[in-house]
Amino acid sequence: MLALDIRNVNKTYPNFQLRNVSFQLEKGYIMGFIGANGAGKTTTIKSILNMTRMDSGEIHVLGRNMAEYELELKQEIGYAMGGVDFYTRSKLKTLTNVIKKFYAKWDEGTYRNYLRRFKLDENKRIAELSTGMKVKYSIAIALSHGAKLLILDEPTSGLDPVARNELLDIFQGLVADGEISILFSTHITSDLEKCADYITFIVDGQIVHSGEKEEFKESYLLLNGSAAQLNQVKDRLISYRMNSFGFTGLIPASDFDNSWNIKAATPSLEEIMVYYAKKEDEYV
Amino acid sequence: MYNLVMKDVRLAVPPFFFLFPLLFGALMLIPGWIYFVVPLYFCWITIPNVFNQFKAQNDLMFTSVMPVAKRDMVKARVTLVAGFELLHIVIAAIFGSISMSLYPNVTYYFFPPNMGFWGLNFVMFAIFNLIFIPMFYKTAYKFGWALLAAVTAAMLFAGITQWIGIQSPVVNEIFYGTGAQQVRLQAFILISGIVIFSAFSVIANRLAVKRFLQVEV
Amino acid sequence: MNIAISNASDKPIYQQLFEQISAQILKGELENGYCLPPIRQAAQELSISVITVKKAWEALERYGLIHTVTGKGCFVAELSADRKLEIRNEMILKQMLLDTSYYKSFGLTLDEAIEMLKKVY
Repeated sequence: MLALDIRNVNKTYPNFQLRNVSFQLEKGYIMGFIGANGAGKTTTIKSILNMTRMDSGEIHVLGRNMAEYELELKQEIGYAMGGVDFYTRSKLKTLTNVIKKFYAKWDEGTYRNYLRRFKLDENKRIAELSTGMKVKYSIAIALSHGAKLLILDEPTSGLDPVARNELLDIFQGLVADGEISILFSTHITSDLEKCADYITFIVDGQIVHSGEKEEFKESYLLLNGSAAQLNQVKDRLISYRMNSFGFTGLIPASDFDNSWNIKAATPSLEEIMVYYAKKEDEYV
Repeated sequence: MYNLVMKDVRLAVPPFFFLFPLLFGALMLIPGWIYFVVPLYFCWITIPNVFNQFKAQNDLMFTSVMPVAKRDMVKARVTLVAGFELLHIVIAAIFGSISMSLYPNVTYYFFPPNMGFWGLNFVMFAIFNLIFIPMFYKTAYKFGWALLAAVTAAMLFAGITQWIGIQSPVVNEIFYGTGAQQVRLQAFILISGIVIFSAFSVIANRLAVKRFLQVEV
Repeated sequence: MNIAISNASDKPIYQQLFEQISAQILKGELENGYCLPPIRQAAQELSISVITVKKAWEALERYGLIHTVTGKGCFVAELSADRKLEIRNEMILKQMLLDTSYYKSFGLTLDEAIEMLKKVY
């Protein structure tokens, strides 16, 4: 079953456009949603949550159309955002008591468990929590109301490596039984190298690739060659940079020809993002 | 809907704002004062503070991810505002009647706090709501201009009716009189005021819903 | 079963998994019928993604090193000594192909390469 199925979403803003955004997330997996700031990650997420009106397109969550079953489906969606705070002066206890009223399947036992596991003190105010603790609190809330799809918008931004790793381990634990699926937007790609099963890559409002992580990386090659070799391949490169040794450039693996005799290696997610960003710059 | 109102009450409205109706109401004890000011304090102080809380605490985002209809979000907010207004008027009216029995011999230059006056207050809040709520829901976020326009209209209404009440002998007779005929008329004005208040709040809610459905969170 | 995964390595993680487990099976460290941990559990314990483990398990299955019993899990397959040898050689050859191209890039002759190999082996 698909936890999330986005088909041909279009949305035009005065100075930005989502064009035919489509991707699918299989139930029980983690999908990393990557792209530069302003590429359309947050707009896409807002479309999923029905917070912006799409010009066209369809979004299905857990097999049902979001436009038709928004309220039922929101019962099953958990949302956490790094860096944006709600009602920071309230105590966790107060906030939880308000939130739980909205969810039919609220499970107090689960909530208590996660408070203990995440070492969250109910009597603290939101403002007193660290960034990582806030994300954990959001996750505790989401899991206690029985969320099956977690949408995490930049949950690791502003976290130190230890807190980040801890969160990533938590995410992996969540999908371990195959019931919960996670869509995880970030621009910190190293987070995803470890835990993501799928990658969706958005550039300037368009999905460049959505699929399994290793396949995604292997669909590109990072070339290292001499300045003389550059002319031979220049047109096929997504972008490149020169240095005193020659050039380094990114190329779709399908365009690579072994007979060129150029050193090629599988790039990291970060390298793919960087070279795409460089391409964008050239056209601006 | 009820949960949404309770959310606002428990999270966004600082508790002492529930004491304000008492505090403002106590101002009714000033003999012969311009009592229109008392309910206006609500528009001047409570509304901007509470709506600023919504804005600063990202209420719109917070609520939008929860399983609630946009329609209900507006309805709950209108209920909160109208409820607050009702609370202010009721408490002020209680203090008003205390004030009247405390000082039986005061000559009222401004409207005395009788039923007719409270009817006018309901109309004043009706106008406030009709302007403030739909204007606010154009963004569901910025409230500055909406508040300015609504408060101006409410104050204009208060000012003009008070001026007519002083200038026109007929109107003066109705609002300042204590005879049986006048009291009946004042009761009628109060009921009309409540009807207008309810009707305008409902219309404000409808207009606001229509606008809010277009809002991109 | 011992697994050591390096995030810094050039090799994809599923490749590392596959190589380490297949070596252990071929050397007989993992016996016939040994039950591999469930995919999702292994992913969580190793802090790697589910798909990565899945890919490694699939590769093992393709080589006939393990077999899946639906509902029960993955088990190390019963392999004859001959078959084990065959698979081992196949895998070694693959690696050698990569290694020799590296030697060739320095212009080493076969004899030179053998000579050097003898020294370090």
